[in-house]
Amino acid sequence: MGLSCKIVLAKYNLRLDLAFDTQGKGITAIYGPSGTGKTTILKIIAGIERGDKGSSIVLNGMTWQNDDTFTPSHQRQLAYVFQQPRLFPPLSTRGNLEFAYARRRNNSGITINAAISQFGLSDFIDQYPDQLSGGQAQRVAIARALVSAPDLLLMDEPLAALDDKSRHELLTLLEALHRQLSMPVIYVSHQLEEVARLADHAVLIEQGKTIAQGKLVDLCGQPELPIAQQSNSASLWEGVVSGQDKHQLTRVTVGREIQLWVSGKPVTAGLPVRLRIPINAVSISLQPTQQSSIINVLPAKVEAIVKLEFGKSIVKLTLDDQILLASITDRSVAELDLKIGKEVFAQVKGVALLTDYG
Amino acid sequence: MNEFISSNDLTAIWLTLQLACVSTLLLLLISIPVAWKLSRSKSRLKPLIEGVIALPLVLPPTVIGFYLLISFAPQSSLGQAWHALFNSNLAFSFSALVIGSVIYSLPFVVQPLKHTFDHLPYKLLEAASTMGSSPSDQLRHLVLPWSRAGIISAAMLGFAHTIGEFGIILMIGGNIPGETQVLSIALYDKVEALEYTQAHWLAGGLLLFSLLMLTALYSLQANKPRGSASWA
Repeated sequence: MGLSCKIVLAKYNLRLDLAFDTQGKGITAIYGPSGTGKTTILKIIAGIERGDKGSSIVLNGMTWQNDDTFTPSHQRQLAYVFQQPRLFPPLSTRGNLEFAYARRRNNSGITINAAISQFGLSDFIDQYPDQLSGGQAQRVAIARALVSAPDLLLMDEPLAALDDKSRHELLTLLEALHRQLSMPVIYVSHQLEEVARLADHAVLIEQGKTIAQGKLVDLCGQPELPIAQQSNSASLWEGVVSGQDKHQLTRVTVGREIQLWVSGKPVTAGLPVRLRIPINAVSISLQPTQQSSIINVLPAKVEAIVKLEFGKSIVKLTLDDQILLASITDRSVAELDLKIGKEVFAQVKGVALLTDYG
Repeated sequence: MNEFISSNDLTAIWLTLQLACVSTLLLLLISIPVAWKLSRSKSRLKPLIEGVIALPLVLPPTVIGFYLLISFAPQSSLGQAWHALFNSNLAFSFSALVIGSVIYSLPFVVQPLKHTFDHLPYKLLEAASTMGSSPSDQLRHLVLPWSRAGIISAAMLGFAHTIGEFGIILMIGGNIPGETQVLSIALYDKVEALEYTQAHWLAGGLLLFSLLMLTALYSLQANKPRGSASWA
């Protein structure tokens, strides 16, 4: 089950030669810098463009493209959310939903009314696309994609054209949606935060090639990958809420014995959560610091040191069975005499708790 | 009947309107799918097909009329097939005029339609494809409603052009009152017969009609309805 693709394309100055697979459900992010052909990958999967000889697109055992066959776009059971909402201007919000619903592929998808309530469309259900804000229009576009009951959902940077407030609202909506979707989702983005919050798996693309793919949590722990070398890169941990203290801090247990205290909205105990620990929020000391404002200090072992440019390094630490990356200066590496295998303490300041994972 | 318009002329006017109406209807039925296909096609044959359709724009009508005359002749295969089907001769008939008009006015209808279809928001059609909408479904439910102004313009151009047709009709229709004698031919007759007063009435009427038609056309293009241009 899932999508399996091999994409070969040489067009203008774009060269694609890559392959990846997805699971039967869950969000797979295609992550890479702008201009590497991420949108073209989606267009080839959708049949809007055709991959060169050698390409193959197979969804749930059904071949959409190989050297002998090419299924046209409208016969592929997919839905596509574009960067721009692409609503039909002569149709109201309801008209746009009805257009997709009337052409839906099976009866298992959500109904129009369910989509209206889930995406909060009732306030502008009778309005036309030119009367909607960017965020509203994109909500309609996502709802429209889902009422067409696709077997595969493609999303091409759906939040990129939105202002910060709408982006935040929609991201929250997508997080909530994530668990309910029964089909694989391909989510193209160059925004690390979106990927960290939404994706289960990731395919890292650079210059038209796959440089790594796998579970996002694993990829984020590999300091040699570009996804771990951005200024906003972060380690992702999956844990379970295990309690709360009287100062409203939430305790999250990760693996067998790691416990982290996280601030923010209280979360029910027992809930699986994802923790996002920015590489810039982790510092390293040789002694457990006393009398500090940093709450989370964890014993760790240096497993690798990757030198970046401009005097920076990323230190890969292992804690129990978890991996934590820390971005520190080369000078600190030298002064602390960090070497592979050395026992240290990781001080973690600022952990973001991403709910609804597990 | 007064001295300016004879009953014969009225018959010619009526026949001309019939010819223009039937031809325009057929032109739309043929041109809409052809223009849609041309607009979407990336085939290497496309320039050739567009060229064939545009031929009446550059060829003298008598050249097209000559070839049509030959292919409509009773001995020709088309003429014989027609006779077998309808038990009547194709040459010098109203049907021949309709066929000739459709061919002659084709570029005047196909080209504005193709122009309209070319400028549709293809990104929205792409989105429709991903919702399972086939090209013919898109044509019916999106393209035609969005292209209303373009279709009306094309129909008016085709209609007006058919009314003004002369050379082809002279070649393939001859001059049979009530069957093939249309307005432009009747006018030619008047001039030949030096009946200038009646010729003035016919010529002036045709001029006025054409001007009204074109003015209506341009005002239509100036005030496109909301649905057709609001997504730019």
